[in-house]
Amino acid sequence: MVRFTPLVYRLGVRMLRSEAEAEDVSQEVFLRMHRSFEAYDPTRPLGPWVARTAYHACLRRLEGTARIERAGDPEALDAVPDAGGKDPEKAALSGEASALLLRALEELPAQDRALLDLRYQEGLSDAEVSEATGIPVGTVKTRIFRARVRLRGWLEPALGRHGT
Amino acid sequence: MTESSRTLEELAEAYLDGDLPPGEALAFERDLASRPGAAAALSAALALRDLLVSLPPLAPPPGLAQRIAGSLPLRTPGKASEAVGPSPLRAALGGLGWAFRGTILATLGTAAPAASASAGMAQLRWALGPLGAPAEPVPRARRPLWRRALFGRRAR
Repeated sequence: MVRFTPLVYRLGVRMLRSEAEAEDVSQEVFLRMHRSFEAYDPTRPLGPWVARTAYHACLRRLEGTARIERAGDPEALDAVPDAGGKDPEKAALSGEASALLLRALEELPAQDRALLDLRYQEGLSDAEVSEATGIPVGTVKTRIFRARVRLRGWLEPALGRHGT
Repeated sequence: MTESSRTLEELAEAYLDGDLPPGEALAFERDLASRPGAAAALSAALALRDLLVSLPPLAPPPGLAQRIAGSLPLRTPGKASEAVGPSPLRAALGGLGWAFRGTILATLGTAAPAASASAGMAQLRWALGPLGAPAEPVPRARRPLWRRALFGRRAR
């Protein structure tokens, strides 16, 4: 459990955007796994099972809040990094590229944030992300691809500087 | 989606993913040399991947794993768990000899079902019999001591 707590917690923070909720969901995830441990197939790797349980626990929590987010936060787009309004050179030079990326990530749908987190932070392959989320591999690739294209659209100036 | 319908950014992402058909991949590599925009798109795509991988890791609060572990129930309720094995007390006693079982049960106070203190002592004497020198013949137990200790004497 100690080994997988960071994975569950990180996924919770990325998807739910709340550290307190991430702690709650971590507890829920391990309780669920504890109760259904007899159903675990020991011949399969544990990581994707943990990630799948965490992913779906987060989705269940989001189902209750999605409507509130849409209705209660009409200015959410204001938080989108405005590449034209910011000084990308200054941001990149001062090492704020990661901060910009984190803000941009928050504007992606929770599922896309989860896919990117599993793919790049946890280092899972597309197939493992597919197993962890229950989303077909092709769809995983497409969603990650589109998410990256959106991120690039927001971060293009900073990325141009970051990449040089 | 054909090359003509993709933007340079999309081509760069697909190229890095290895998702371009061989012909399109070769064409994109030629573009890298001839079109400055292609090289910039590839560079930006690589930079985004670098950034995604190098985001500062989110560490869970100290002690979270221990708190969660402490909150988990000791055993899983339900039918599935019943098939797993005996109760923790039975399991703990499972590997011990009869004499030690009696001693442990008396120590834990789980021998309370004994009708009286003298009956309890008789149980313990029986249980300790193999280790000590019994002053009187060891009575033959009709039911195992642990069963009598846990579930009491059978009504006659």
